[in-house]
Parts: sequence; C-alpha cells; structure tokens
Amino acid sequence: MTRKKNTTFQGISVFDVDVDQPTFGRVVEAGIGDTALIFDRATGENGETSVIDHTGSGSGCPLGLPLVNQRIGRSLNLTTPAAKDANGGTGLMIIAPYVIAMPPGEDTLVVEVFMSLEGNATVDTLGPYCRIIEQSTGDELDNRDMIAVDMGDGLTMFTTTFSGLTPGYLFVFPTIDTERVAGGSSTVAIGALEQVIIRHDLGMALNPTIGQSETTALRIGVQTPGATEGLFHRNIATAMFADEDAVDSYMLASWNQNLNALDEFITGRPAAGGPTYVHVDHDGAGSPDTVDPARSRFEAHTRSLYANEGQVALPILCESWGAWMDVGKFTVDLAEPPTLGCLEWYAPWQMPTTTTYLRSAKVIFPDFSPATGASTNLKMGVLIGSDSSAAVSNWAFRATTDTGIGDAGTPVAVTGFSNTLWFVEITNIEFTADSEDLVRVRGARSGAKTGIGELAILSWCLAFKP
Amino acid sequence: MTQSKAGSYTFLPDSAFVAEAKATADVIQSLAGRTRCEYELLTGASPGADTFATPLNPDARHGHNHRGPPWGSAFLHPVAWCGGKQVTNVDLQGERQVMTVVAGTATNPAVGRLMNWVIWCAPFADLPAPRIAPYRKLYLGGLGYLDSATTTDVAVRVRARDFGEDTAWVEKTWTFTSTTEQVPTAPDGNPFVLVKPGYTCIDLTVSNQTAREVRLTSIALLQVVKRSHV
Repeated sequence: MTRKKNTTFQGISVFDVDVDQPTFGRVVEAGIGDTALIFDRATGENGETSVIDHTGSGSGCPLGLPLVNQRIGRSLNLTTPAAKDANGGTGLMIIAPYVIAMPPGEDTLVVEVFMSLEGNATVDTLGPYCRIIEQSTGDELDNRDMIAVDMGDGLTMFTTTFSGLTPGYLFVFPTIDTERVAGGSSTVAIGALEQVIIRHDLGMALNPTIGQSETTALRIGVQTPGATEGLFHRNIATAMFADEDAVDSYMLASWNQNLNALDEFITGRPAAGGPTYVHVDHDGAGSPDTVDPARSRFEAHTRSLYANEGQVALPILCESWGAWMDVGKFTVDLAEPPTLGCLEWYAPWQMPTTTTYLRSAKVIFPDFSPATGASTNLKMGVLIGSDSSAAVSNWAFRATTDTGIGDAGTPVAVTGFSNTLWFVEITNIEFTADSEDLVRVRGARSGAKTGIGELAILSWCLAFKP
Repeated sequence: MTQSKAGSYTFLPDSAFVAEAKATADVIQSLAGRTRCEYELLTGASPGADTFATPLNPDARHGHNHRGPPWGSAFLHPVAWCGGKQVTNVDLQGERQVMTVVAGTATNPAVGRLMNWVIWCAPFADLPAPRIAPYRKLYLGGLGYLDSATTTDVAVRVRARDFGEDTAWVEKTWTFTSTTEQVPTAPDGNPFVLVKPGYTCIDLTVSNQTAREVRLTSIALLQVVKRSHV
C-alpha cells in the first residue's frame, strides 16, 4: 500500500469548505495527506527527517525556559582590600560569572541581578554592566550597561537585555566597579548579592486556551492505541483517491480520529476538550502516569515508542559559585583561609588534588532517553578561573548522579584571556529519567598543584544538549 | 491560497460519521480547520501566508512549548535553586551551606530563614478546576546532613508572597539521619508553593527543635508533573 502523505503542508482553500460548496475528493485527499505529514513530523516515523526539536522556524516553538534562577544571599563587602587589580583588591568585579547553555532557536537574554545596596554603593559609583562571551572563540558578543530598578524593601535590580546571540555555551559576566565605592575604616561596603535571574526576552499571554472547554459533552472519537503504538493513526492508501472514486465515511471518520489522536498527543489535554484522557503514559502495570513510562503516549521527546522522535535542548541547572575579577584575579588574597577582599562570596578553589566532590544539587530529570550508556544528551559545562601561570589542563572533572557518571573532561583555556579563564564540558552523564536525583561535580589532578588557587570554580551548568 | 480557518477547533461528534449521515459543510470545515490547527500547534508556524488560526501560547509565541496542557505535556525539571557545598575547609576553600540551622529546643526552636526569594516561573496557562496546572504548584526538594548521626526532624515551611496577600504557609517535615549528605525523607510529603507566571516572591523557614545542627546544602523548587497535579 502506498500511504497518502504530503511532503509539505498543502492546506485547504477557504472556498472549498464554504456552505453549499461540493466536497471534492481532492479536498479530502489534501487533508488526509496533511494529517499524515503532521503525524510523521511529530513522531519521526515513516522516514520523516523534519522532526520537531523546538528550535523554531517551523521545527516547534522554542521552549523559552529560564536559564538561571539562583538564590545567593551573600555579602559583597570587601575587607581591607589590597591594591587595585590585585588578588583581594578593588577594580572591576564580575559579581556572579555564569556559563550558560544557550539553546538553539533562542537569541535573547534578560539578565537580572538583585542586590541590597549599602554604604556609598549606588548605580553611579558601581557602574554596572554585563558582558556576553562566546565560549568557543572567546569573542565578546555584546557588552551593555545595566539599569537600576528600585524593587522596594531595599532591593535593587540591575538589568539589561541582549539580542542576536548565538546558541552554545556562553559566559555571562555581570560586573561592577568596586574601586569607585569609597572605603570606610577597613571595609568597603557594597551590599549583598541576593539572587540572579537570566531568562529569554519573551512576552506573556494570560491564560490562553484553545478550542472547547472540558465541559463540552462530545464524543471523543479517539481510538485507544494498540499495545505497542504511541497514538492511533490510520493510514489511507493513495489508491483510495483514484478518479471518480467516492469519498466515503470511512475516509472522513479516519481523518477525524487521526486528528483527535494528534490533538491529545500534541496538546497534552484530553482529546476534543473532553473530561477524560484516552492516552495514558503506561507500561502496562500500576497506575497510569505515575511510573516511569515505558510508553509515552504524548509528544514529550521521550523516544520511548518512537525511536526517531526529535530531541530537545533543555536547561536543568545553572549556578555561579562566587565572584571573580575581570582582569583574571581572585576577589580574595591567596591564603587558606583568605583574609582580604570579598570574603563571603568568592569563587572557591579545590584544596586537595585527589578526587574530590565539589558541589551537590537537588534536581529532577525529564523522561528523556537514552538515560544510561555512552550517548546520553545530558552535559555539564564548568567555567574555571586561574592564575595565568597555573597548569589547569592537568585537572580532570567528572559529573555524577545517583545513577552513574559522565565522561571525564579536561579544562581548555578560553582564547583571549591570557590563560586565566578555562572551560570544560562533561558529556554522557547518566541519569534516572522521570525522577528526582542529585548531581555532583568532582575534580582531580595529576601531580601536585603549582600553588594556592591554581584554579577556582566560577560556574557550572547542567543541560540536555543533543 | 487563503487557507481555511473555518471550523478551527470545532470538534465533531461521532454521529457526523455514521452511515447515511449528511455531509454538511461543518464536517469538512471542522476537519480542514483542525488539520491546520494541529499543524500550527505542532510546528509553531503558520502553513499559509496569512495569520495564525491558533492563539498565542503563554510566551506570546505560537505552537506548543511543553508548558502544560493545552500547550503540551510539561517537562520535569528544576525551576529555581539555592546551591551549596557539603564540607567546608577540607576540600574546597570558600564554600558554605545554603542554610545552617543550629540546635534548638521545643520551647525555643532555632529557625533558619530564607526570605524574599524571588523566582521567575515560565508563563503557563491554568487548567479548569479541579485540575491544577503543572507549573502552578512547585515542590521543594533538598539535600543536607547533620553534625551527629541521630534521626532528626525539622519543620519546613514555605509560602508565596503575593502583592501583600500572602498564601498560606505549607508546613511539612524533613527527616535527616546522617552526617553525610543525603536527601531527607518526607513522611508527610514535600512542601509545595503555588506560584504565578513570571515573578513570585517566596519565604521559607526551617525550624529545628532538636539538639543536632542541620546543614542544608541544596534547596530547589521542582516542576514534578506532566499534565496536572490532580
């Protein structure tokens, strides 16, 4: 049987569906062919390569999830700072450096830094601005001043917006000038860094709905899928549209049922706006949708039933670990423990060279696959700062979850930063799909360090990156 | 060609397809319109040169974006977080816990506070009652450990602050047992908070009436369901 499917969406003219207009066979043929195309693009079945991966431009709406939503609550006050641009001194301070995984299809960022200012720290003295650096080239993509918004209760938000950015790993550096804040006694009072939000510049539509409400009493007309099917879809042969062949109720009913199944599959709501689902995520045992589904009957990029379903980029977690100076210096003096500079919030450094867990985070993972083995899409990026004479490439970093471990990654110097900025990507991290988990990063070095603070961890991010 | 939007999203009863049913115009209009709508919802693109038949999604864009029904099955992922470190001064110079709650007593509990925690929740559409949209209700998850290995319960309370009209506190128990980092058990479920699309300001307290010190190394707000909390 040659299956009727359109290679591109044809649509149906408004004139062909007007009242008193005959219903031509070509109209039904076009609609059934379009529906088959929608099914194939949603599932990746029947050799369809133009699948939905949420990269925009007709490949699915970008997901638009925020990248950073971090509560920090640390003081930026400087204790007896040393000379300008020295370790533990004053100067241009990157108050919260971030490495983010910019997803394909998005090109904007809104950077919001919430601070409780004190002393002589004002927007005029601090002169806040933000830089975007591309990881692969070290190029500065943009550099913009930040405006101050009074949020009340002593909270100030510094914010700016970027556009025209590229996908991949980007470094986001919100920066203030600590030299211009007048010092008093031994402390330069700046204030507290409360939280940072980095998101895309999007609108907001309030409670948009589609179609009928769930109170409409209509028959659903959705066929229950077979045991190995994701959703019901009836294929119609092209031979059924031969010249002068009648359009029968079988075609129309099939078309209708295919659309209803797709509606529930794509929207995630009960088909035809009814009160109950026909589809369930279910592995045949236990309560529906409460177990890690072996068969996902919703468009969720799980690849549990459709092996060629599109895979998506999804941010999981992104944190800054502490402040860093823009000239590649530490915000504290290199002592253990430090006594000068930004003592409450500075990029920390690993002390032993043996395998050491550095950070833990509580997370939950979506139902993506594969979740184990050598080809998961879960990756971690780690941004590192160092003294220019440090041998950071002798370190190796790995990420672990309760499920397993990722590949080892070695830091590589970022171009144009005189050996003071390094990046490492950890790939193929194993995880438990559809479950809460925790993630850790650990570091180890071959041989002894070159000195205190050979490397400082500035930021980490965890994301699915197909 | 001006593509049909007529009958967009008007579903049809099965009676429209029984033998000898009249092939009225609304049948073909519905099928044509819904085909176009499903294409738009799937791809985020309009198939014709004219305007969209489907409305904007919560991000004011077109197409499904997995923000919960009817905009697609939602993904499970962390929404907001506070991060920390398990042990200071031994393996990492310069890191601290998210919150340390010192020992307290029943009459004088020690309370750790995280106030004015501003989060950004990606916009979402509410569901008809009694269903609750996935992103409307976020659950708290955490990691932590004790200064001595004795089973220890702490009371975790969380609420959203909503333009002066605060939501009610939700209080649950977290139980820690170990001096190494662990996920606490939650015998009566994890605490949750009801958030809005966009900014929500959250308050959180951890109350300790025991003789142990509780050190929290990670706190996160998690999106935990795919289509509805009910």
